[in-house]
Amino acid sequence: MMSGAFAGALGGLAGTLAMNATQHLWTLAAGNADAPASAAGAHDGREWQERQEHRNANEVAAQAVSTGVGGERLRRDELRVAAPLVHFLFGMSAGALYGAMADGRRAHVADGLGLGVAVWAAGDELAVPLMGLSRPATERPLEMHLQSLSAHLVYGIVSEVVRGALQPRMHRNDRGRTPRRGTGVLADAGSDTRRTLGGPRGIRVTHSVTIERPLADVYRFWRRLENLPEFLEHLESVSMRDGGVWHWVARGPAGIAVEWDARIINDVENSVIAWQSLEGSRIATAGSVRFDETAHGTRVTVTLQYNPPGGKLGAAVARLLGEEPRVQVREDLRRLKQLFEAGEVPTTAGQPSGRAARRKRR
Amino acid sequence: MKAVCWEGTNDIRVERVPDPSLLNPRDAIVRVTSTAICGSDLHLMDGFIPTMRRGDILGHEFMGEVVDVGRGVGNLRAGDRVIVPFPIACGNCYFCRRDLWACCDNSNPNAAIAETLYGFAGAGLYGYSHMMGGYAGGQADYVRVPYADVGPFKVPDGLKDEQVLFLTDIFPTGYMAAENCNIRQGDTIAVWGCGPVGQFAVRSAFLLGASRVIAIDTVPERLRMARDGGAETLDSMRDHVFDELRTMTGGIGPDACIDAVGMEAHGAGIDYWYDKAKTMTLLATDRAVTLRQAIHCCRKGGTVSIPGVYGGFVDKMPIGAAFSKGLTLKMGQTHVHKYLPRLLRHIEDGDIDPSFVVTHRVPLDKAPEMYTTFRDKQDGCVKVVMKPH
Repeated sequence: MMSGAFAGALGGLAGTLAMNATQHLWTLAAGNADAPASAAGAHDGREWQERQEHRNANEVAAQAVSTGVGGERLRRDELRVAAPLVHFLFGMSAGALYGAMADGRRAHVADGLGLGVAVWAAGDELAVPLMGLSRPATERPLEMHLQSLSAHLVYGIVSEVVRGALQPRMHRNDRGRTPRRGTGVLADAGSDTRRTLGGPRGIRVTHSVTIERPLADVYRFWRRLENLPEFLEHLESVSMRDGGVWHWVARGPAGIAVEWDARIINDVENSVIAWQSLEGSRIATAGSVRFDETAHGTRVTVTLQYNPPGGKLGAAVARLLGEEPRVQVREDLRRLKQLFEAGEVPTTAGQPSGRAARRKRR
Repeated sequence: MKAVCWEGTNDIRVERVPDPSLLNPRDAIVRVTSTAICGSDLHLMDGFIPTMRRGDILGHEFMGEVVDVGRGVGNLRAGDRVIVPFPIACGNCYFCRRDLWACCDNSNPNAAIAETLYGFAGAGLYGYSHMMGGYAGGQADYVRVPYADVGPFKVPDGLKDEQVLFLTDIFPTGYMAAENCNIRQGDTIAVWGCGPVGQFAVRSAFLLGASRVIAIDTVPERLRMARDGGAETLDSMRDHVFDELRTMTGGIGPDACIDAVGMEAHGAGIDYWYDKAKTMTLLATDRAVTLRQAIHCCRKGGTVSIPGVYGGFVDKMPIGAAFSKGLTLKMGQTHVHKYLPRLLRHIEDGDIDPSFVVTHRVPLDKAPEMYTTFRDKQDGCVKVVMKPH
């Protein structure tokens, strides 16, 4: 949590700076070169309010805090620091809160826009007038709404981009710690799967399916890893090598063949099977399958972790080609269920339609 | 072979297409002797069901003669005369084993599409959009039948096609609608829509012990057909349906209400034009005039049963009325496999002869004009049966 919140706070700092600049540019464009008249000038992002209401929520808030804790009213030279401080603290707190929620996620402009809209709506449109720090939002001209909104949109985007840029670096500094989201299968501390797939690294997919067949049958089928290509669409073959090592061949994105060696690191009959690629193999991957008896049948829960060819960039490209790992695993498990329950995978490939007729006519 | 193809909204054509072949071990090929146009096919014609593709073969009410079976089908052989339920069901999954055949887990090759829209996918259906599996339908000379060891039911030679054909869909659909009403002796059931499903709902309600059935429609010959089945009738264009129903039931309201109309309801009120405007501008997908009225009219603690097809979203759903009256709402695609044996017995015992509903008998070539005749309720059309051979 800390690193996400911290990156978010730093993002919020940068976002608030950018927001102040945006407000000032707007004010200049609106032809009010002499504004703002407040103590802190253009450094606390309240220019729309100063132009419209001749006061500044940050100054009012700073005064309230100062007198509230028993101090005296702040002088103008004190407000010059206190008012921006209020604004920056608010921007960084919002950024930290958001960063904690978005911990480990890549930056998306759309998320940044959402953050900006949320802070604008919750702050300037709702909380600020409710606390008496501005006049009611309903009395505000459209231009003032827009100036505040656009400044907050800039805040949101800059915050998000900076947060996203800072986060991976922080995670790399975490290397010595226990991976926060590792699975039980990563028990072997000596393996490089832990380094490559721990924490937010690599791709991790979990999915489950319930099969109306005895648990022992499903377990036995899976334990013969040679069977896996029957329903794992991207897997070409799994074959046994010497010393309990299994050789896996798969088709990656765009049909590129990828191969690796793995061994079973956990096998409890009728309960769990887990495997892990060998140290130094080209693909770092780990997986597990759990079998549970339920009232609806045998529940099969699969977790797969892998470092995709080409890293996260490769994964993003694969996604563009329609190879979403979550969807692949879901469809693979659907095939497993169909094979067990119906004995075949349903299809319409090769059935007649008027489309073939039309092609012939042309 | 010849097949009835969907070529776009309001564009139904008979085309020459390749013959079907066995694709999976549990498949069979059936030579179609009789096939009907279903009211729900009109939703396809009108473009109300998403994920149709040009060239899709229509038809989910069909019967015929087995001509070929895959190696996984042990209970059928060439020459068997069969009727085929419209939902495709594997027979082995959690849902099939609990008689919820239209909820089969394994028969929809495009389950992912349906899951996007509905959360979870129902069974594959013949000729009813790619979201529902994309299976070629039975308005054709031949049709491929998946899971043929589970779906097709052999029928005795003594019964004519027209007597058993409707066991594939509309008779079980009307029957399940009535069964969903949880009828007790003496109950009054109101049925909106006197199309084929409504007709079977009327008769099924009586089979299940209702003492009165009140049928509601606007088309005189359909109301007459409902009266022939023992129902009292209301013309929703002339009568004030709520007031009439309340009076007829001594101020209580019907014990259960059946919406046998579905997503393309017609009406004259302001909510009809509201729905119509919203569906035409793609702001909504379904028109729900009937459903709203059925909920409004139902007695306290009663049941609203929905055999009419809905596909997407409706609004102005009177959920407050349903809630404050403590209604039960039951709906869904029909679990045909569950009802077929018992309804076949009713036919064999002479309790009902489903052929009463047939008004038009034509060769397959006439399909395009018959779709229009049926949709526009011209020429007294209630049910069209087509003979491919």
